[in-house]
Amino acid sequence: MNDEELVKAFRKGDGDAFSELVNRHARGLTMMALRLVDDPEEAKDISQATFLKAFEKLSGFMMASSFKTWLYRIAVNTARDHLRRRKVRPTVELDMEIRGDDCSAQEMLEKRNSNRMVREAVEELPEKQRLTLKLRMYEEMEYREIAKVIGGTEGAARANFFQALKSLRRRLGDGA
Amino acid sequence: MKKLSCEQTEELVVRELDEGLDPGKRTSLEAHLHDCQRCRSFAQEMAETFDRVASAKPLDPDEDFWKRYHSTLDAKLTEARMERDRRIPWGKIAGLVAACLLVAVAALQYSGSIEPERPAQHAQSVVLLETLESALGPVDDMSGMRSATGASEPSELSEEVGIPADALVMWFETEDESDHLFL
Repeated sequence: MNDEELVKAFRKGDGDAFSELVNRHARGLTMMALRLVDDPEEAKDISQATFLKAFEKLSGFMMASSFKTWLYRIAVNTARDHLRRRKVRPTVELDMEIRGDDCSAQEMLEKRNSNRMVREAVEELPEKQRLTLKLRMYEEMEYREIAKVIGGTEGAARANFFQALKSLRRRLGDGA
Repeated sequence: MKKLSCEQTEELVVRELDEGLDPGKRTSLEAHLHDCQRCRSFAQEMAETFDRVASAKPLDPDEDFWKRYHSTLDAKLTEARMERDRRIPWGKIAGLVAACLLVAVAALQYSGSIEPERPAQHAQSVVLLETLESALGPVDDMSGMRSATGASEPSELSEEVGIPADALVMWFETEDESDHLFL
């Protein structure tokens, strides 16, 4: 069954249909939330809150877009609210960042510093540029899909990506 | 081959790094970069930036994270299901009650049982009956016929009221129709 058929089954009272939708999308959705907030526990909370909202609102979902787009849009809005409420920027998850890398202590330190600089520079970007950059580079989403999820047009998503990279080039170039 | 401006070149540099260019555009881009030192520097710096941003991608969480994720989400969803089952569907109940009320009011109005009384029209009918009785005589309760006693001929009545007999008959008929329509 595809997502839309599962949605219809859920509406008819099939509780397992929603569990199947969760199984299909939990990992991708949580990873996207992780890219947006840079904190695994916060990403988990956002992802779970998204599924709970979807559970409540699914009967009113008009299927104007795909279930996945609808779900990701809820997640992005939840993450946005979360980021606006959050006063302190997250500390970079160093353990996650260097885990599994086979390199010397010096290289590890350099990479850690570089990554911290990049993340700080990314966090300084305007919201739409930041979201677009993360969804495109880390989630490999199509521009069309990004436009649907965060709002706006495909052209605007491309422009946001371009401007984000230009800003990062300037900032990282200055700080290098 | 179309010549590119520096502004167009910057966009193509980013697009080449992001999703690649078709051969025609790539040739134009390479030609411009060959001739423009500024854009060559831009392309080099942008490629470095692109790689740095891409390599700053956080690693995926481990399997323990996903176990915790699913166990807590399952618990939350179970609670949400129970909450939904416990919830009284006030919206549906209110809608049903409103629909029933509408149907009942519509039915009552259609049957005319709740039509408001019209005192002025009622008084008008009484006056008309009294006029009829004085003109044609009282109705016999047993036979339903009017008695001859006290009855006025249309011609006499027309003389009293001062209108022709034919017009008087028409006036009564009209009033009868009117009563039928209103009552």
